[in-house]
Amino acid sequence: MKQIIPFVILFFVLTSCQKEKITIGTNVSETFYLDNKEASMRLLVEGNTASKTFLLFVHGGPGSSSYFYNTDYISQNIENKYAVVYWDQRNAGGSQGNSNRDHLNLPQMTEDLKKVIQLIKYRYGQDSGIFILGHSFGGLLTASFMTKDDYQSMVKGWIFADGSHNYPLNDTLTRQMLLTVGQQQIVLNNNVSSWKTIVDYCNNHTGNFTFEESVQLTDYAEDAETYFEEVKEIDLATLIDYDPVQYGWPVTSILFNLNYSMNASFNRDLAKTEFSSKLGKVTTPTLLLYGKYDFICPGRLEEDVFNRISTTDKKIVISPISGHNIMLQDESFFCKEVNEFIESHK
Amino acid sequence: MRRIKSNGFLTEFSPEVGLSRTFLGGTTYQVDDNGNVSIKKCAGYYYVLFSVGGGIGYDFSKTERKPFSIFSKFNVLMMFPYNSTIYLRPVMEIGLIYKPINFLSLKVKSKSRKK
Repeated sequence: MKQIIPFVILFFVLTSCQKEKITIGTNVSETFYLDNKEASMRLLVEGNTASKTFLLFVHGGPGSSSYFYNTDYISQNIENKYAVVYWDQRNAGGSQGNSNRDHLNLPQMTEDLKKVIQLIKYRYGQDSGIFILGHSFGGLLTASFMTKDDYQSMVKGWIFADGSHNYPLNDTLTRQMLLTVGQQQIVLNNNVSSWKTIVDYCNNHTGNFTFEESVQLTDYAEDAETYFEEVKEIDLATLIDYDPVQYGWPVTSILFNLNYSMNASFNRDLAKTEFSSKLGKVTTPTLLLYGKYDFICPGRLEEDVFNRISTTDKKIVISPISGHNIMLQDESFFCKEVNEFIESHK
Repeated sequence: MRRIKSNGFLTEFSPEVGLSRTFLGGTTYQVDDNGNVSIKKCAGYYYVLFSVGGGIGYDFSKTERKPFSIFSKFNVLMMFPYNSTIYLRPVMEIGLIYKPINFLSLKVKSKSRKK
């Protein structure tokens, strides 16, 4: 009998951690995982699941994390009305896997997103209303989702925040914005040496950008918004300063996943990817948000989406004080627009 | 590898190789191509694990004939292949070791060096 007891204890330890827990309430916080093609992707659902309305963050990167969007402000101003789903994509944030590089590509991630939505509906009811919000690279991923087959019928609305749906066009617009604004800033005698370096680079690299040129333009774009005092500076150090210990962030996992994904070979394929030509298929209500000082994904990308989608139920708005992270740099503006959009389409 | 000096101070260095099995911290689902959802039991991953650690402490049995030691140790765990890359995890240990007087005493191999 004594020999059996350890095995009985081990059995209960192994099985008890897998028990399904689904909470319908107004102040929920629960984590579960989607296992798909050699990746186990973390999903954190917080807020008001009783509302049956879900806002799904599709983060940037590739390889960033949804942990960064889970701020106190969003908890207090969106999660109190609706449930927010923080999804870590494959090879990102708190997601796990072994050697899974063969599955790290946009078509696979589009299928992952579809399964995430199917899983949310399975857990919280098929009548749940889901809104997807793509930020930065998440804009490309959600554009891929919205234009594939009839996938858009799974969601009630598409929110496109500082996103990119067309990487070649993105490079062209980033260069144009850096050049135009840079020349103005030099005339105004603001950060002259930094802007001069950027303007010189843009003058010497005029189009048909290589992958390396694209990376360099993005680096300059990241720097550019920091030259404006009205823009709240957001970098990795700022995000990690949000007290990751208190919120249980897997910091080393986030950093190693980010480093791997940002340097993975599929970024070269993404650099040639565009969805402008397919956006006419989109008939779902759409909200487009961007920051005036976003050089990484300039606002003219949102204008391109706005002009090409077929739905007449669309709105485009600009934050006058934000750069590339509108949900962190202009929180009240972001929450107000998102809440109004969801409320009128849920 | 632990070295205990005659005055009771100890130092420790511990390189380790092992196998790690993680268990995901929540229910894990699979969704097939038809949208059918199932639960994956005992979801997690096996990783090769390397660990390097070092620490210091004090063995009270050397000077005060008390059967315990205190120690502090810092380890770095490295697991791979973790999402096709590696995963590093720092671990800090602070502990107390109690050694019952006759427990496995015959199996302990000790070397002592006198100055």
